[in-house]
Amino acid sequence: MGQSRIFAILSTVVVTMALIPLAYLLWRTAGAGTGVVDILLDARTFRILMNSVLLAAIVTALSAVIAVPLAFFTVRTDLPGKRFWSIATALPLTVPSYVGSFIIISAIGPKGSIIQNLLMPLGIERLPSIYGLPGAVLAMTLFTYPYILLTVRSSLQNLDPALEEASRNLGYSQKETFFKVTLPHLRPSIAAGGLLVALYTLSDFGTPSLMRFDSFTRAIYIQYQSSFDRTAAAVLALMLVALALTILALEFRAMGKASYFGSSAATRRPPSVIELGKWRLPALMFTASVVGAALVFPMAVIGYWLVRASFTDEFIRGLLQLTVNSIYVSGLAAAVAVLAALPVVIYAVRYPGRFSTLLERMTYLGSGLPGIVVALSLVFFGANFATSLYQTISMLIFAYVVLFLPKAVGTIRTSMLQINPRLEEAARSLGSGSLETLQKVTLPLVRPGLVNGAALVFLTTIKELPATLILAPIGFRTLATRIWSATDDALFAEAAAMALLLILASGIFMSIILKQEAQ
Amino acid sequence: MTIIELKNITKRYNNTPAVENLSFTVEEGEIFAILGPSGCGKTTTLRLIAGFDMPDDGELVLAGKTVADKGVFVPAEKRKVGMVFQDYALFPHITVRENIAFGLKNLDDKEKDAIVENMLQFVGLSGLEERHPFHLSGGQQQRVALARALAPCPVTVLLDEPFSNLDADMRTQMREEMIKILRKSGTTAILVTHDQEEAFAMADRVAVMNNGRMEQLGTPEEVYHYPTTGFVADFVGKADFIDGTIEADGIRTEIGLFPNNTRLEIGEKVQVMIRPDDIEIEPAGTGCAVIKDQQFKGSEVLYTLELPREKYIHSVLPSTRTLPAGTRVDVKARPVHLVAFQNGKAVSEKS
Ligand SMILES: Nc1ncnc2c1ncn2[C@@H]1O[C@H](COP(=O)(O)OP(=O)(O)OP(=O)(O)O)[C@@H](O)[C@H]1O
Ligand SMILES: [Mg+2]
Repeated sequence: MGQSRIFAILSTVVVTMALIPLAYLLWRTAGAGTGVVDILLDARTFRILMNSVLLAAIVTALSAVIAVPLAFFTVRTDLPGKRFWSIATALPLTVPSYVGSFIIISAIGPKGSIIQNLLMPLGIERLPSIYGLPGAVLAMTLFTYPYILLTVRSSLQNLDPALEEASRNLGYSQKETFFKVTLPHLRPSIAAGGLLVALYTLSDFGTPSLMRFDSFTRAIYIQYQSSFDRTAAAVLALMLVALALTILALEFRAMGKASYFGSSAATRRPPSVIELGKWRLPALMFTASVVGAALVFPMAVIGYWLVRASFTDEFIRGLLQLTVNSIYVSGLAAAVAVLAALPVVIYAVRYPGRFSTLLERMTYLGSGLPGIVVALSLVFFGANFATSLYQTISMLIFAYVVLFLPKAVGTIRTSMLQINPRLEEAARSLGSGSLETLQKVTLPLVRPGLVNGAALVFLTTIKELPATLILAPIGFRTLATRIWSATDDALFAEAAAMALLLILASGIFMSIILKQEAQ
Repeated sequence: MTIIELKNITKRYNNTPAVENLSFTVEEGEIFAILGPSGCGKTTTLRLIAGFDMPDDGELVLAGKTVADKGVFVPAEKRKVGMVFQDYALFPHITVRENIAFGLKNLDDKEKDAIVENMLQFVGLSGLEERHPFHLSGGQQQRVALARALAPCPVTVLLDEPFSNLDADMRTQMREEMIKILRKSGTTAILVTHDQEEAFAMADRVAVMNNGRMEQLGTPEEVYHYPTTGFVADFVGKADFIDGTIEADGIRTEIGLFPNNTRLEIGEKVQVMIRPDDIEIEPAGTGCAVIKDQQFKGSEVLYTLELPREKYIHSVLPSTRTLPAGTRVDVKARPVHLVAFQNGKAVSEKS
């Protein structure tokens, strides 16, 4: 009894705090009165909405076209070097969008880019612009298609081979079976992955800002910076949130369906391997060119700039400081997020009820809140109500936790659900008190989930851009913010050095997570 | 007419045989059971017949056509073999109606509808056709799986432990229903199970498998009463083996003298198979056995009896009268058919 109350109180506190940014934004907009309607009806607002929707739609469609065949090749066929490709095709996910944009701009941008440098002797001073929609689509697609790849792949792995066998048995060839059984089975997971891509594209700040494409996130930032009346920024932010939350709701439905389709209790045989035959070469070329564009090309671009550059000692010392800063705030965010998530998860899993489930669900709202929105709201909030916290590390960490709490909750929840509650009951029956049981049984068992959750939050935080840009104390810079500003200032060599460090740090953490998952 | 014929079929996984030198035939309209413990190769056998796996050796003939042999392999979709999977493998993304119609190719919608309607009635699922499989109970799912397999009129239907996902009540009921459906449609079927009761209740003939090999093939009665190996004797029902010696007037054992139906020489040692229902006991102060334990099983009581030479045997008697543990009893064995074994092989002649 007492224990459940403790968790109820702790969870309520966490969830209430996580809801502050959204609540404040709503309150603030409601207080702005008729000005809101004017902004809503403005032609520019409509154009921004259309831009955002268009970008998300194109990126999602292209990602699906790339990811579904890749998933199929790397899971079900005899593609040569399958293991290598299955890792290599997922890795572009570690490239943050602004790094991706940096790579594209610095390689094929109109001025000062690699190609332009090469063409200089021919008297070409300027290349056609890649800014705007084409650049944004390219940068987003190349580095977000793995969301679809990963969901489709896991759904392919979960597909009960008996379903395909049943279809063969009823007279359908391998190809017919693919279209009649396998593909329909994949539909929910394609939808789930596609919605993730759409959500990511809508919320992303780095690419639209660097590619100078007027989507919501860029427009919000410009509004925030350029005018004293922040109502316009707030209204745009709320529109974006509405759009993002709609996608998030669809996402949950799709996910639910995807897991439904995959469920089957009986023991399974491994899925059968499909021989590619004469399709082997085309499949290999397709896979290799995706990996080439999304992984090798970025590495080559970074390499190019690093080889040409000569860095001063001062810059290298600065680089060290930036790396330390990045790791410092990401580590703090990871620790706080896990601590905040734990009571929510324990309360929801061990004391299931309407209230505890509601609290848990509310934390997921955070995954529908774009970083720029949370940052903007906290700036207003800090300036008006929490001036002592305004422009401090605490405020920054708070923003990170609001943004990434869902990741921590999700991971810890999964590992908590795997613990048989009978184990805790056994400990109680053997005389352990409830807190003692928590400490001696529950926490040790849920440890992998805590470590995973922390690693995931760390990984996401170190790449985070808009909240860091807006909320970091004056003079406090991280790898992410510096890559962004260096790209914007066409300091490509410096951006390359920092991007390399960032990718290395993310890559190391990603491999730790993957290793944990493999166990 | 012979519908299925296996000739010396062998299938290896990583060089260990899962099925070895397996041969049998199944006649038209027959219900054939493959019975054996977990891992003995039952599923492998079905998958070979269905065409999901390729045998390493041997020949497989379906309805007079060789479908697997050296250099011949007819893929699964061309074999017209229906299969009811262990966990049914119903397509979750389509309705019951569409599941049943799935295998009906090259027919117009009207014909399809007619067949589906027919099948639904046949398996007693009318009214559920628009549902999705996950909204059905286990028993209903199984009926859909059966209807789906039967709808395209396959040459044979293979059933892989079709009742193992059902609870005990449901199992007996579905067993009866399925038998009725299969008999009514005259379907040739192979049923795989590790439950001897199920095999006996459903099949015309039973093949008992162990370690990838066939131990015995026969009618349920033959397999139960005339097991040819110790493994079969033990697997198809509770059996005790007591030592005996061939003497001039019969086989001498601790619990009495049995007629000698072997061709062994006097003095040879054998093991005599005794089933618990062959043993009667009567309380007697001078009896040779003592009741060690008794288990009440409802209509029957299972007694464990200790014999003088510290060997235990079992007896099943109606529960109208129960005797307490510790009672000294006389033991009378009245086997319907006596089977004696030597080195795990039956040496008795069939009467
Ligand atoms: N795809 C495979 N790869 C490797 N070994 C396999 C494979 N399929 C089956 N085996 C092995 O072959 C043997 C027979 O397996 P099979 O599935 O036919 O057994 P079964 O009689 O159906 O058992 P159960 O009653 O448990 O279903 C087992 O030892 C199993 O481990
Ligand atoms: Mg099996």
